[in-house]
Amino acid sequence: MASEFVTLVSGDGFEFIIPRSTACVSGTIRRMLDSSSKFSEAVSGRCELENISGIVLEKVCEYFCYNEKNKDQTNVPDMDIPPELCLELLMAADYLDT
Amino acid sequence: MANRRQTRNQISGPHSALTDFLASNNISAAQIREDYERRLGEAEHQVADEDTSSSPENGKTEESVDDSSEQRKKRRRKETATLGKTNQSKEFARCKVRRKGKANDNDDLIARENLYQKSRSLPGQLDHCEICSKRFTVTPYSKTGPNGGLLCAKCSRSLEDDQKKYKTKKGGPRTGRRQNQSALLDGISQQGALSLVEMCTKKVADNINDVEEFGDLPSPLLHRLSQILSKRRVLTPRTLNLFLRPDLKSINIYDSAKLEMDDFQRIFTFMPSLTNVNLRFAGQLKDKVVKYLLERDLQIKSLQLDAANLVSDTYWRRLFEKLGPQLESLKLSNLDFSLDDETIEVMCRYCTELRRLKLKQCWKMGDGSLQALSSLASLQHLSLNIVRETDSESLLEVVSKLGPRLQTLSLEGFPNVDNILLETIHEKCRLLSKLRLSENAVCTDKGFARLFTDWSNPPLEFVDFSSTRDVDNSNPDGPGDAIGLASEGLIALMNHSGPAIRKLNISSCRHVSRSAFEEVFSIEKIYPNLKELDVSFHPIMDDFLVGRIFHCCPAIKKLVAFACFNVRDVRVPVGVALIGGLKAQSTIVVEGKY
Amino acid sequence: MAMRARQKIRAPRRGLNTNKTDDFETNWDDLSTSLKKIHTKDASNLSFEQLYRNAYNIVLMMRSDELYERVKKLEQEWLDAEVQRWVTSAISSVLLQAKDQVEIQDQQNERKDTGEKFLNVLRQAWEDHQVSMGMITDVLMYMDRVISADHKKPSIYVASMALFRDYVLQSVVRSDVKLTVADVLKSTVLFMIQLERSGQIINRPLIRHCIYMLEGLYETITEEESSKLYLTMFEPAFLETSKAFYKAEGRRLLETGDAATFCKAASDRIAEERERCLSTLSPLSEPKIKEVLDHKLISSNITEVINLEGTGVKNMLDNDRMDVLRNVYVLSARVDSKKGPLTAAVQKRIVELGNEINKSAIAAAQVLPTKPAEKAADGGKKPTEKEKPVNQQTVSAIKWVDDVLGLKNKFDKIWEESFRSDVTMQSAITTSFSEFINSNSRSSEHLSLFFDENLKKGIKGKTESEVDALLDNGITLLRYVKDKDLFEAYYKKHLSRRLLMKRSASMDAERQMISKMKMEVGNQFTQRLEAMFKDMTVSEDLTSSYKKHVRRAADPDQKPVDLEINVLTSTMWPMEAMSSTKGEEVRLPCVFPKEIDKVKQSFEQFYLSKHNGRKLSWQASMGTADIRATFHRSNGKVQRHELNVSTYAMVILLLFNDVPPDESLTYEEIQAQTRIPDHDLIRNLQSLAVAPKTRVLKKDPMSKDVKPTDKFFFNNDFQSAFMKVRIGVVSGSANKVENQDQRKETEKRMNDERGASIEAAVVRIMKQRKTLAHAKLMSEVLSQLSVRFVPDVNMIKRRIESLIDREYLERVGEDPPTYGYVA
Repeated sequence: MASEFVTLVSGDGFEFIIPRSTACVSGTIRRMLDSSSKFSEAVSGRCELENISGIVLEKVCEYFCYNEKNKDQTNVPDMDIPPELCLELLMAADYLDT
Repeated sequence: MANRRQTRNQISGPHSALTDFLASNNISAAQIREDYERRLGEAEHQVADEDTSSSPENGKTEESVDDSSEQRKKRRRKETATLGKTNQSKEFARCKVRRKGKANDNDDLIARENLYQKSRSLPGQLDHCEICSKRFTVTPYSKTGPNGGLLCAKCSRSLEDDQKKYKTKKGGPRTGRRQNQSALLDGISQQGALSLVEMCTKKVADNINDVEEFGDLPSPLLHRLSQILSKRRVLTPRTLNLFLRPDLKSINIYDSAKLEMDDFQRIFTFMPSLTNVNLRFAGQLKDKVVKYLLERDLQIKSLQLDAANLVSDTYWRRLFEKLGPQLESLKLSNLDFSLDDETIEVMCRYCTELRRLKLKQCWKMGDGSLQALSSLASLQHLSLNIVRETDSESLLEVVSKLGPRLQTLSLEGFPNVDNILLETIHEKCRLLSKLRLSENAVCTDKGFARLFTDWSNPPLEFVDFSSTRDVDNSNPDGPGDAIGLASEGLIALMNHSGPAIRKLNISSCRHVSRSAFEEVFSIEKIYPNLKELDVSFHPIMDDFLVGRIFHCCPAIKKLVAFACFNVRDVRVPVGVALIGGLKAQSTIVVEGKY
Repeated sequence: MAMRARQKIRAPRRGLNTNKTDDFETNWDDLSTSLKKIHTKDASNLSFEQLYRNAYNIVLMMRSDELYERVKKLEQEWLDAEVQRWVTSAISSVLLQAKDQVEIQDQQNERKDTGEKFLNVLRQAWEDHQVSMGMITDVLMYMDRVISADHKKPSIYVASMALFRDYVLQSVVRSDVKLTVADVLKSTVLFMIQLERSGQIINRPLIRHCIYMLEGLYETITEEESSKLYLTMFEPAFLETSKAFYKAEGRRLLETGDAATFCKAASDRIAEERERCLSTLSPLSEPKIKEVLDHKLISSNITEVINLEGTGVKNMLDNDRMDVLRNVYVLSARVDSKKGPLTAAVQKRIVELGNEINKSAIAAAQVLPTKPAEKAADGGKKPTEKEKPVNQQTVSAIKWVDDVLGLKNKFDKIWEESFRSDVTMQSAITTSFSEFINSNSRSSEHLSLFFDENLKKGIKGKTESEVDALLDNGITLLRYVKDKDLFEAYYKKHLSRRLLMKRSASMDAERQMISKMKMEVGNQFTQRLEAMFKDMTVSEDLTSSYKKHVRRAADPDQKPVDLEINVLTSTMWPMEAMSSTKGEEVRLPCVFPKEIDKVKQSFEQFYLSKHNGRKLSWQASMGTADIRATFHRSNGKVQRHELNVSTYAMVILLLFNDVPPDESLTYEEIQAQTRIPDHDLIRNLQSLAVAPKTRVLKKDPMSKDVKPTDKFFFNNDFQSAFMKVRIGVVSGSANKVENQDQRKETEKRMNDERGASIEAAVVRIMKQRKTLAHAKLMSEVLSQLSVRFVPDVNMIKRRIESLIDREYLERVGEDPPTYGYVA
């Protein structure tokens, strides 16, 4: 069975190792890792996200955890996003269906 | 006590709704006044005390000398009781931590101090600032100093500034109640975090003035940004520029009020591949802009303009002549100056490919327009909100001609149409998924029931029959044969459309009986797709029925229940927004499935 | 805030390396080769991210529509070229010449094998397509999001499924035959089903998978439920062939001529088709195939089956074939909530059997046709033992009740076990029972006799619950009897005898019976019966208090005559039945001997002192007396016997106290001295002088009949082995079937009583309503009285007329005829 952790690789080569369930907050990554399809990511547990820079991906990973943590809460406060990143992050979020 | 007993026996005059409400929530105006007067008296008393005492003491006021021993005993007793409580309280714990290190501390001492600190801070009294020792009048906003004493306005300001410096900004879980309620009114009762996209969008909007361009942002995100910027009223000529990208096919500006003529022209200059134009509150969109637009040879297929009141009929006609054949969707609203019957006729002559047409609050439209509309052979969605009084024959003509192809039929502002319209819909419409007929006091319950009985139209998804009811104030129960959507009609409607219905508005359909609601939301019924329901102004709605609604509608997200005074302590499932309940701030949230 | 330097917000760019990404064709080339690889199951080297990014880039170029169309085209080409060829190649010519004619075994097998091969290929193709399209849809997720939001096009998945339908299923197999793959699929599956229906084993899961495919595909792109290919393409054909099959099957089964077989086979078929819908075809078809079965197999044949000569329902009922009956019931219930044919058959049989019972009861009663006639003529000289059922007719009456109960039990059991306690069936059975029971005019009497018999001795040695059951059975029959008043009359008569003669075996049982009747028929019905019981208890008290009174008042030396008395309320008791007097002729009361008369007067005094203004009339015919008789034997011995005799007999015997031995009294003398009515006198004399064992008197001449000229002597030579001798009165004391005259009498009384009831009802109604139309009045009267009896319409009319004559009512209107109440 697939390992509990997956590796997300940014376009500029940073690697983030996070729990599979956390990564699956992203619709795109969830499908990418779907074990019923036989894509290379599903086999290797390693997703190279060429579009996304390390800085942004770090923030994305932070969001994954934040989302996971607040899954059952209501009235969740927003996560802190540095303004200078917000457009890029928006783009990445859209890409990742998050 | 005696007082209360007396009032109970008294025959009292009519109460105001407010008094009733307060009474039902155990709030007594008399008590509030008493409390206030008592406080005032105490404050005066204390001021007098202090005036007589020769030397102002520092922070800790001891027990007043002139307290009788009995009073003292009483207070002591009260004090011990309060101390018990205070010992357990959080604040006490915090206080203890703060004071750690002082050798002679015992718990009770700290607690006692706290108690007296608290008891001191009554607004209106005079006190001495903890830091600068100056005398000042205590207000509800007076801050507490580091040692628990109160601070004067000046000192508190400087303390605040100090704190700001080292206080790390914590976005702790302190979203205010106001914000929650605001979100609730928007129907958002979100469970879990917002999506990252949504959060970023908000962030972008927050910092819109620092954004210089949107880069390659995909168009759905632009659309969302435009919405949020419009809502915040920051869609200015400068921010408009962000949206002007030559590769984009659509522009959606929900608030164009701050745009000038040349801004509109810029849109058409910079966006040659536009097919979809949506400009609301476009007050400055004048003839010249239209002229320019027509010169640009754009392939516009979908056009929505709101409040473009400075466009004259001549230019409307030119617009239709030029763009007509390619237009698939046309939505015009809030036009009181132009767009008369002849213009609509021109529109109908040229816009033969229209699939979607929405005409709302166009003041000059009348019977002539309606008659012209029936020639729009390929129309699938029709929404009309007419201001003038029209002949119901004209509308019947439209419905019977266009009915067979219509998927949407939304009719507002037809107060005079009667059951014949419903019969025509019943006979002609086969493909409807959205139906609205609101503000009508002529169609009867039987008519609605007949519409939904044996109708060969598939189940509807959107239904709005709000404010169809009798409006005779002298006879609030309405006539025996109910007017508007009432018991029979609602039952027939839900039997017909129950499986598919997603959104239902029956607010102010006030002749629906309780038993009809009980039948519609009886224990075995399930409406799997119903997400939004508006039952405002149904006085018979109560906690029980609302509970049933939650039970029967597993997908419900938003229940609007304004003026349902019997909805009091309903248990609201997680993720559902109940809007308009009496105790708006304290809706009880139930975990898990309802 | 102010301290932070305003940082420029970086504008996002698609892709970090902006080279090579801006070209649609480059992206598409990459994408299309990969998509093909997905179809050829060669995806493990592909990076999802890369494909996703390709699609994403294209969408950001605002060319999502183009991408969508290209993918569609690619799918179409793939399906058209590869998949379609593969599938059609699996179709052998055997499958093409498919017609449903009965084939020889070899051909069948061949067709089955090639059919399975074809289905397997098709299933594989479908499943592959689904899997690859699932993957492709995931990859193109971004495109789908934009497309479906903006343009209301179906998702690429839906579109590709439609392509599969168009380019695989609806492709023509070969140019020479105009069959599509779908046609072949349909005929092959139907062929398989045909095989299974004829008993062969087929590959169910395989077919199920192919059906899944049809269920997953739609005619239209909007995918409404009703446009499933399964429903539009396959199901109609399936139902059509099923109809034909079951029409033939029904005929075949009927020809076997055995109803049981038919029902068994039909039930099996029903289960089989259900199973088929669930495991082989689609649950959607279940209600429809059920309808086919119900209609073709059951509805059109069930009547014939039920009425099959020799094996039909009649036979099943007669032989208690519960399981088969249950089958019949279940089948009938499926198609017809009223179960028409079945109820008709059952009802017919019940009435037949019931009439047989009626007939045999009549026949049994007439085994000794002379006897009743004789009895009617001479008042019954036959010295009958009272402990035995009195005569053949009574026996047959009781047998009738037993038979009916037997029949009832049988049908109750059938109803419970086979008809699943169905309400319709119950009411049908009840109707039939009621029909034949009421067709026997003597049923009320028979039933009352049955109770009489059982209450007298039938219940001896039985446990409480057995008694209870026995009475309950009787009560169930009572439910069927329409003329409850007639039954009441008989019951009263029989009850009075039981009470006065102390024949009841158990008072508890009697009371139980009353309360049961009360529950069944109502309060009013038992009122008078209860009053009878009350009289009895009151009398007991009266007797004992009288005894006390006598002991106190009377002179202790004189031996008092022990008196036990029953004071009866005349309206509650069937006096006419008891005092066997006829008509209105006024009779002088019987003359009691002095001793007795004294007692009588003393009691009257006593009674009237307590209840002033009442009138006591003495029913000597109902009483008994214990007397001590001394017989002086010719050999000088003296023999004493205690005789238990009727009151009349006592009166007669006491006469002989004053007659010297060897002297006689003639009949006329006796009559003159006693004034006992002829009828009773004759019977009493018969039992005293004729009955062989109780000949206390001697008669001259010695004959059976009693003639006015006959002389009677005291028989000093009376012999008996017992000290106590009980001398019953011939007939009259035992309850038995009435003879013709009595019956007429009863009927007449009944009619009078009914007339009164009707009048009472009419007046009651009119008093309340003041005016009422004739028809309304009639129906109200009928409904009020139906509890007690079914009134004759003409009788009601006559009664109304008579009420009008007597000015209780008046005619108010003519059209419609209306009456008014005259206050």
